[in-house]
Amino acid sequence: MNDQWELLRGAGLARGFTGTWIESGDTDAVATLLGADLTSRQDCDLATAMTCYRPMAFTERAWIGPHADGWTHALTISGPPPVTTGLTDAGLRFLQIRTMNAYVYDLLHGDGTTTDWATQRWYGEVITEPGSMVEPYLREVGCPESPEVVRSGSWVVEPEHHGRVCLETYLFLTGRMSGRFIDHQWLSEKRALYTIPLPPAM
Amino acid sequence: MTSREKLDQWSYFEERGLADRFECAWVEAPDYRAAVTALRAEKETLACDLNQARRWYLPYSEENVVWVSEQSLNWIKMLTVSGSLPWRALESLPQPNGRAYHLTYNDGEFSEPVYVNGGEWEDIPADQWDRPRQEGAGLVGSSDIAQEMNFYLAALAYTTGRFIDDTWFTTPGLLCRIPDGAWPRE
Repeated sequence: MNDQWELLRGAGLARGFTGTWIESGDTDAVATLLGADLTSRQDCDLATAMTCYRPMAFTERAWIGPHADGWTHALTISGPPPVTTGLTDAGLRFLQIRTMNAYVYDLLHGDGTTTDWATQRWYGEVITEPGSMVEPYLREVGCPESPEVVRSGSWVVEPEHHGRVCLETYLFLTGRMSGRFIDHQWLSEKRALYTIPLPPAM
Repeated sequence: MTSREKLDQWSYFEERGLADRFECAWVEAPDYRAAVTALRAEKETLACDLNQARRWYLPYSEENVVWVSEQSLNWIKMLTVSGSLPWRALESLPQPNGRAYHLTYNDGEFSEPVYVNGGEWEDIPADQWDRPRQEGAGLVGSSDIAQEMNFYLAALAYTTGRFIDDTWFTTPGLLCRIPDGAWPRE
């Protein structure tokens, strides 16, 4: 397994990354469930899609394509994270990782019925509800290696790289569960770039 | 949801995940669209209600994004979704001789509301706290912070003529980005 975050950073996603892994091989159906305007479709590589890169812009865009057998990936290129209620309504399982600036959000996962978070704890530890769909993969991660502790005087303060350790765990979970990790091949594939209009008021 | 205590206005922000950090201004002005222009934020806008706009909520960010909408007749509201509201703007946004109130809560710390009246920063007249105090607005809420916020939100609701409820989040408005450098930082 390559260093997943290093690859994503290399693709220019360091300032904000939102990736959604969806258990469905029907890429068009997933795009529809995420609210994409199908007429906006533009088939392109990631470098081309990244010319629209702007985290949290008012215009929402996602680069959507086949990820692994039975899985689709939606990479947010601009705008906030996609609304995932359509995925759950369709009974699809999914995982979503989100970072913004230095902040790593908890991993959001849906089992097709409900959604929950795999939350971060002290020292790079990730925990999940017993019986959750990510639990078996999380067990493979095991206990986090005790990261370098930053001391300030006699106080132990939070490890500087806590978020990064958790992010690597999340990227391990999405890779293991979907059966494919991010690699150079993944980053050089062609996928469909869509605009996602503002969903109607809820 | 309909049977909720009217004075528990803060709970509407809590249940929407908008309570980590809160900044809102109530400004005496007739037209929220004109206010967006006066805020120098008309170049990048998105027409939406607050239930939609909250997807852009970033409590800690350097990009200033504000949702602006009508509050009541002659009052508009401006809720900070990301970053912060340039407070200097509050001096020029109200109509001539108009008022603006500004209330913030920031990760465990909150400030008493501040007030601009006819372009001058002033103390809020003490009689505005009478009714919330008589009604016990400061005793309503899930925590000390919630009770504190409910006290001030009640005073502002009586001043502007509208309480926060679910319809507050479904009023049409404009999400707008205030460009870097549009207002002085100090």
